[in-house]
Amino acid sequence: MRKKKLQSFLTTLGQPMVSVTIALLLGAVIIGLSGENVFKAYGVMLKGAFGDGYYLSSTLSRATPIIMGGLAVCIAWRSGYEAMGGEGQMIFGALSAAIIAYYVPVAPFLRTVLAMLGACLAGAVYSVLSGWLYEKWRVTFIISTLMLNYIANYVASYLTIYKLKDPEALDINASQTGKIMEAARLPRIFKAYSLHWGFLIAVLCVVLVYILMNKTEFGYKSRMNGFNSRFALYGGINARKMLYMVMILSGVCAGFGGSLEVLGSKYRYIDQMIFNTGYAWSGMVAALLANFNPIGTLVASILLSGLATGGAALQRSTSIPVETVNMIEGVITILMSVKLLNLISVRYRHTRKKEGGEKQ
Amino acid sequence: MKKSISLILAMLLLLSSLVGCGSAKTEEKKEEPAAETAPAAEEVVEEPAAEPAEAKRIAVICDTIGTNLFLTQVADEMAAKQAELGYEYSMMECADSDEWQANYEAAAHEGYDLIIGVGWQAGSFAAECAEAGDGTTQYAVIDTDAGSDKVASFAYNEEQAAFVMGLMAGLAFPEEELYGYVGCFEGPGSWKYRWGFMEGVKVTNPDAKFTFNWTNSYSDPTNAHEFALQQHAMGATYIFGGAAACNEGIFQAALELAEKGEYIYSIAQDADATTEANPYILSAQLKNTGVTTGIILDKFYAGTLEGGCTELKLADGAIGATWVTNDGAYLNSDILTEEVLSACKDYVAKIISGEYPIVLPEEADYQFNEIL
Repeated sequence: MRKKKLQSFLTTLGQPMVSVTIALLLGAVIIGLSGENVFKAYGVMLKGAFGDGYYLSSTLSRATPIIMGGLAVCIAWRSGYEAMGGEGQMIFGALSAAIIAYYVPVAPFLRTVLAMLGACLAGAVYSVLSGWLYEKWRVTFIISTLMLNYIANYVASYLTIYKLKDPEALDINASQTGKIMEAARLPRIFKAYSLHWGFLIAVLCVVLVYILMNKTEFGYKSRMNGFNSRFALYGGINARKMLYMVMILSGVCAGFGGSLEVLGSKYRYIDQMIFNTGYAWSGMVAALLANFNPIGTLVASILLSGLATGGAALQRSTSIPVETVNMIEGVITILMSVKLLNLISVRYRHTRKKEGGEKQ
Repeated sequence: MKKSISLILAMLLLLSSLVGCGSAKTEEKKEEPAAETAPAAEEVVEEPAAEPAEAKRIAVICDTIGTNLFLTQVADEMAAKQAELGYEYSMMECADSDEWQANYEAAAHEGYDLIIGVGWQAGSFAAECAEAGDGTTQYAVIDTDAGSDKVASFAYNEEQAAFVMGLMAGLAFPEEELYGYVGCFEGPGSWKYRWGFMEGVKVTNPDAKFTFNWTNSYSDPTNAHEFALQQHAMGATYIFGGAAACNEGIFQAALELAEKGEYIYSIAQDADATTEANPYILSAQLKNTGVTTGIILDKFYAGTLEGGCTELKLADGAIGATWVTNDGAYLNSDILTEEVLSACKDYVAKIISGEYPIVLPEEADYQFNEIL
């Protein structure tokens, strides 16, 4: 039993590693074709992602909202609800946090707490909306959540351009909210590095979601619902309650992730800051890679984040143009998404079964 | 099971060896001055001796450049001045807001001597890094005001140039009822363009009507192409091209319509794009980010690059209008006649001397003509 658990754990962790390695080999071909030294380019990329404390801290900082977006997907998808609304929920979470932390006239610490709570609420409400559309009108999650993402982004754009624009900005083009006061921000862990306490909070959330999904009655019921919703219904699980519980929790994770990005990194909402960065989508890729295992999601999120920060380093330190860097990042992401290790392990089991059968 | 574990271990080994390669290179780079004595033969061959006068290192942080003339001018100027000034430089292109922040912090961390940011996104990150830094790195931003006395900001008074473009349109097409406009984003940022253009047209055609379309992108010529065709169908002959790289769609529409014997005329943004191959591009509203980059580099090397905001106007030569303030590649003299150009030049002289002040009002206070 333990052996099986270990194998499953290693598979979860090892899978991204295998995919990344094969992807790096393919990426090497692209780098070679663009005329750069492959080893130098990968050296720059690795240094830019994990090379020293500074770059590692940048990677972990970028990973923070990705982890939270991944947890949101883990909760929803593992329960059988293939919702893709993390982006919209994260946008409203980030925007709410930025507004509350900037405008609410209370003590700085309270601003931070209220901003986080507000972000959770915003994410949950927006998530419940898609749940309601599904329950009431059978609007499939894919359509409703994708459309709600666009709506959230445009609403946030409108507000940051026209209504909540930074009153202190000297540039009329600056579409961003006002900067949150220093005392209300999530402090950096080390002063010279960009890593902030939000990352550790996200890691804590990973542990909490892991416990929730694996050690509680709710987790058991939600997983059962994910495996077979009809069986779950037959087993006496209240499908309606389950749907809303899952959507709320998922929305809370995504919205909270948005608040961590605002309070710990950008200190304001900048138009398109969640949409363009694709945090929620990276979170979804991370969760898919890790088979919705929260701990695997954490590892995959850091790898994906490292890919982005390493890619930026590659672009700024070599002659490789940004389009080629994006191509390399894309190739690596696609290959990371191929669950190679799963395929290998399935084939291995198949062969062993076959061999066993032949022996008998 | 054993196979899986050994596979994972093998991959980890491979990854760690790659990391090893990375860190070795890093150290070599960090210890560049001592590279002469280092045994790493390959590196020594590449850089045989550390030059006594260290080349300055300059970072330019901007959006992805592509074919955006606003940014290609900066890249071209950086390349052109390198031979003269002998600096090393890196163009850091940012795909999203996180990359803006990460590149700013990384450039500061990597000890560049000068960091130039281009675009409004640069403002707050430049100010933050400059405030947090020890003063060894200098900061400059183009086309925005960072609002910090540690950042040299260079902003543009685009309403002056937009007014000249509107004036030119009104003089060249005085009988038109409707004037078209295709821009990137409708928002406060476009107001100085819209206002300048409308006011310029209204000098000769006070009852002119206007129609506006927005591509919501800096690089979507397909949308601009459709908007140009629609605005032509509505009756517009002149379409203000205010949509960065999307303008290419308007120019393409002009060529297509010309084949059918129908004509629209437009202008480019930021740099001259007039060409005999497309005589329907009459002029360009110049925002010469290349000139501004040159100003920054000259000041940096002269030791006179100081914090605070400088607003560049028609008088500074960083903004202007092709065939009025600057020459272009091709003049469509059938449309831009001597009279039209000399009238525009007169107004430019009056604007520069202050005789004809261009004062941008708040959008909320502006009395619009009919907008279709």
